[in-house]
Amino acid sequence: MAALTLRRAMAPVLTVVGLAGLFALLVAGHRMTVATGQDIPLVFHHRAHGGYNCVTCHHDFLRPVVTPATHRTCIACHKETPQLAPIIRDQFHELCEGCHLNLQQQGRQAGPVHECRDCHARRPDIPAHGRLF
Amino acid sequence: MFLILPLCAAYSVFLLCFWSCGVMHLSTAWEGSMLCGFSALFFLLALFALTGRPLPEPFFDGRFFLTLHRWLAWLFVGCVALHAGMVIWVDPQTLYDLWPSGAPGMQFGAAAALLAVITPCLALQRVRRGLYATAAMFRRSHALLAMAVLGASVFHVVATRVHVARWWQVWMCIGIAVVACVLPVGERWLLARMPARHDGRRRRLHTAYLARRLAGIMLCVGAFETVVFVLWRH
Repeated sequence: MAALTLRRAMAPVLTVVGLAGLFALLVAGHRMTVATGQDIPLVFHHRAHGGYNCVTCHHDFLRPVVTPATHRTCIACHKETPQLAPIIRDQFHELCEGCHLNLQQQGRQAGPVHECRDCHARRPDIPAHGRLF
Repeated sequence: MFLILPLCAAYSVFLLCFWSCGVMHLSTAWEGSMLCGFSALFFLLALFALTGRPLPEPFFDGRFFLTLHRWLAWLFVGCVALHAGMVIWVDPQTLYDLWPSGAPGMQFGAAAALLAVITPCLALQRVRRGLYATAAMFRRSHALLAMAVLGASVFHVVATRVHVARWWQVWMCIGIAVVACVLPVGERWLLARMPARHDGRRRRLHTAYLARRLAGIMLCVGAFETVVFVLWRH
């Protein structure tokens, strides 16, 4: 009887263990690689943002910060600062997408919000720290 | 009644993407892909309402409900394939999200898609008989996998914030997913307490073809709504 109960419980238990393993692998893999993982190449049209106050994006405009970055670009600085590297994707999406969404909700002309290719270039020659145009 | 109420609840999630949140500047391919994704969510939620267990209405044999469940499952898988395929085709950059360092919302979407393919494959008769000793074992395992697909899908919908971005949309999505998870248990509990019919009628037999037609109609309605939505947006 006990063997039968055990056998009946085996399939759901194995399913739960398998699912937990899959999701744990996803979360652990993400945490371990988010700071060093592959970046999607990015094109940023600096001139298109000329109408906005510099400090909107450049938080170091009035108060310079010390950075270990080898390239003086926003992405390189955030990427090479250990505290900022794990949250770089969320921070930049929040900054760009959030601003564009706000403008859209005010009924004003805004930049891209959702489609990857509008910001992330397909060209392989663009370095991971981004390129300004 | 049993058929209509859960389907209406599932449909309300589908309608979320019709809610205008300003101009979204999405291309036709993205609009179509998003609609395929929401159709997939609709079919997935419908699968929790139509679990294959015979319901009091319509008074058809078990084959009708099983066939309907099977066809809805394949429609769900088809919509998921179209949703992912179209986005990857127009925006290959989304493949970067398959790396472990990708966005969690997209990774959970990929996990949901993987489980969405595995779950119906494990339910195929030959595989099922080889893997599970009893029908009860299969049912529990299948229910757990289905709940994992639903959980990962809802996380994907909420975390990617393409259409579901406002707090009430997020909570509506989560609420409907929770209701869908307990629906099969509730349905079973209710059915066990419902008085049996004593009007002498028997369940109508040989109704599998009606299930196929119903699934076909649902697909046509989904496709029609997608076209109307895309034309309205452009």
